[in-house]
Amino acid sequence: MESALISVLLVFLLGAASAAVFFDSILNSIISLGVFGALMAAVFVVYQAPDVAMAQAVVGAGLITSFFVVTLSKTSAGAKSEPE
Amino acid sequence: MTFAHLIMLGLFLLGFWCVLTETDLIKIVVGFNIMEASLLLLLVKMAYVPGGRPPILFPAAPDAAKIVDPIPQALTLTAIVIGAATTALMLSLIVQLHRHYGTTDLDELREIR
Amino acid sequence: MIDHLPILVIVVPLMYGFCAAILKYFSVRAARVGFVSASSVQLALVAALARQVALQGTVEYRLAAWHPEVGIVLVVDVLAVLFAAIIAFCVLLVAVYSADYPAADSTSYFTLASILTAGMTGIVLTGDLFNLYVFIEMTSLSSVALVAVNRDEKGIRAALRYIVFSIVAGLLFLLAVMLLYGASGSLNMRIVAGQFAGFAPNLQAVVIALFAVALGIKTAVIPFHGWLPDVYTGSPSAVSALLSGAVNKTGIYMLARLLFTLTSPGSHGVLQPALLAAGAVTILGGHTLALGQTNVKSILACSSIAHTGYMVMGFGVGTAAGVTAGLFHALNHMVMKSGAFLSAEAMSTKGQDIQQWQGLQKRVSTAGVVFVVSTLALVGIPPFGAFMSKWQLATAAIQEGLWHAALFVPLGTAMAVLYYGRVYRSLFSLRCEESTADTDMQHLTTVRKLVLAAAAVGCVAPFLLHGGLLSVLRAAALNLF
Repeated sequence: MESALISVLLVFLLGAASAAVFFDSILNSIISLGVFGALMAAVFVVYQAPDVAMAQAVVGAGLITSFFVVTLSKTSAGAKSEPE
Repeated sequence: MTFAHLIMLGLFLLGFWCVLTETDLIKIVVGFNIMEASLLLLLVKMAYVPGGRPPILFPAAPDAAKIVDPIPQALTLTAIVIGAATTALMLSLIVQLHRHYGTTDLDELREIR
Repeated sequence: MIDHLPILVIVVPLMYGFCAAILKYFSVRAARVGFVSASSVQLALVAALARQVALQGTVEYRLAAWHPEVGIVLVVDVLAVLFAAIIAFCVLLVAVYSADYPAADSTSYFTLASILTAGMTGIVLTGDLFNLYVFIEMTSLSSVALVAVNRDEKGIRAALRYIVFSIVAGLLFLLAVMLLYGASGSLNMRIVAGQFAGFAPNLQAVVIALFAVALGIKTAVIPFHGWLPDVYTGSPSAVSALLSGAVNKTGIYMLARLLFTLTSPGSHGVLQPALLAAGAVTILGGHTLALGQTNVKSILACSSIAHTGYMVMGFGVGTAAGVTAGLFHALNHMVMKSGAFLSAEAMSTKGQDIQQWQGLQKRVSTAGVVFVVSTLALVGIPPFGAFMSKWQLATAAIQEGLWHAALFVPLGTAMAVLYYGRVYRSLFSLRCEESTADTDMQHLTTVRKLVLAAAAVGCVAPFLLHGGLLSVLRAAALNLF
């Protein structure tokens, strides 16, 4: 039961990672990375590491995604205001 | 080499490939995050005992062999935080770079130099 | 108090780092004075620790009194305290020099430099593998931020390049630590080293290779040197002095500590020839790279690569004499390179290109003299410490019958003469460029002159005191065997 669950989650994980790498749009790939982080938290729960899963959900999925979004908004906003 | 290990290897290589081939700096940071995540998974997998319980003590402490190893989990926590710090620093450098050059693309940066 | 010295040496700079962040809002001057005094306190604590080690032998400090198998231990032996002293001395030198650091908006410099000090000291003192990884990341994050502390274009580009290499090195290191934990069930270096010979040969090879590559990136051994020239050239000179004087030495320390405690010295197998070859290639490649540079800081940066090669070659010789020579060179290189980078900053008011240095010698006399002294020391001619360490290295190699390795030492010296010769020719040329003639030279404060003078004395002192120094260094090298 557990091993089947882990296998399914791991396949999803690989899918999310591939999406993060292969999407052309950076916003899409950042969203995929957030999904990837959340799936990581789920895998940690199945691997009997609830404390790590909490940290991963807050830091890995939440905080890092927000860092990326802030970076993206700062870099693309600057690009628009600049005359080409 | 189990299925889980294969996936971890796949994630590591995927991240590495992303770092090597992408030209946008933000995508390179994404690649590094995936590489690091694969190592975190390996750490937690190392601690895992099939059918084990989380390493949390409660009055009726179960059989010690049935508890997953707490040390790698503590290490994973530390590694997650270190990874977040590294990501934050790298992204802040990218923002600064964009302020100077107006781009986050490596190819365009090379031309400017 | 005396019992807690090992942890105090790490905590004092760390605490000051956070104090400085608050202090600078009230008075930047106070933050500067505080940085100098924290660095002085640090050096004094390291000296007290050294005295304790000299009296009692190796000091083991258990954090929170946990048992060594589960808790973190700090192990202070002669080698560790020697490197802690190198780091503390280099930081004090840079701290005093940058006490009137020109860039007004970069006050986070004090916080970052203090955290960097804590990280580096932690690296040399810890006896726990994962703790070592944490300190490595602490060091690399703060040094990356220091490279970009002025927020100029060159610094940011260099910092990005640096952080990419640091992340890769950190991940490889973490993987090696994890493999060791998986095989031994412990993170204590002594316990892991005791079991290491019993591991599967494949695992041993993989772990050694991962450590070698990770630390090769950290110390910029060729072929992993790609980041170093840009980083040392692009960062502010005080930071370059810190990076090449102290941060690079922590890589050297880890190389010696990890590789030699894991593999027993008698059975190095392929590792020893590999280290020798890496050292030789690094010496030759570093000097060759330096020959092609026209920027004085780039020349110093590339020569840093070459000097790392001498230290790695010393470890490659594998005998106590060889390791002693490598450690001696690390000590010398810290003083020489710090002096060279700091005096180069004082000289480069016009720019850092060799052409822009024409006839500068007459104008910036103190800095000029110290620059010439420290670069002559880097070349390795007799009245300077580096001559002794190179001599020791060559004799140690010849004793082992490694004539071909010993040949690289005089070859490197000859190449160094070539590129520093170009700098001197420009420096002492009588023809003064128009633009150089009528610039008002940056006035060197007395404090800075004193620091430069101390660095110059430090270049000569190891030559005069080599007898006593060598016995200490030999004791440090014997910690590894």
